[in-house]
Amino acid sequence: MADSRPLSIPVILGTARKGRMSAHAARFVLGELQKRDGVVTELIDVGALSVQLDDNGQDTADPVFSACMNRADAIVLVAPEYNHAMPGLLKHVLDSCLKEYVHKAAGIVAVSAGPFGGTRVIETSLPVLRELGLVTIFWDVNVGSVAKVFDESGMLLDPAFVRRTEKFLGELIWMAKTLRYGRESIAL
Amino acid sequence: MPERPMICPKCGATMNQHGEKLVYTGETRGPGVDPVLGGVMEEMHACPHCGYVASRPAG
Repeated sequence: MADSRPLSIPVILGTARKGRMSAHAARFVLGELQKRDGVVTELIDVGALSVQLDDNGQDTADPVFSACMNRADAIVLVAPEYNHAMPGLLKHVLDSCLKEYVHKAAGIVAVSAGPFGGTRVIETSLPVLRELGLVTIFWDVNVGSVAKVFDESGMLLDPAFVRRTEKFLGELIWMAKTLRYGRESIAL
Repeated sequence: MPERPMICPKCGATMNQHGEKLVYTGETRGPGVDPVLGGVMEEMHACPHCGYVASRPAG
């Protein structure tokens, strides 16, 4: 049965660091998602959220973030690699929700200044996302040597990322549709 | 049909229970704590009408 509701797939920019190049990757993926029929998206900047530092855990989220995660069918995490892992702020924000994530799809766009394309932030993020109840896809976007992929204004310099992102989003959307059907129609 | 259907707080439709998640509390006993599993079991529900998701302690 056709579902008339569009899929909601927000893009989470996972760093607040000054001069962050991940912002270019996030805006690029956001633009690619906006070209897709049947998908609505928005950019969530973890640096712009109201983050509670004297508490954490389920139900401590910024209401804007929790509402966005509630209506999401999938999420795109744009995560730079800081010392082999996701930024602490991103982990803190993700840990502020739980029920909002269960049986929803997640894909990772990993960003690094060096040549390894953020492979280590992907590897260390997968068990975190799994424990949160998210379902990770097997496509990633690896943005290595990010200063060669985007210029200072955010313009894409390497057109190969259009094709790579197309495959990544194709899988994410398939998983989002499948999991929406499961969440709403298949009883435990 | 589940024994305790959950009603969507957003649109009023009957929600679908699609999962359970064990939330570790650090307590081995107390309200809602499953002593065998070692935490509180949360039921996960989704609304087939509007997509809203909600949870509640299993019971």
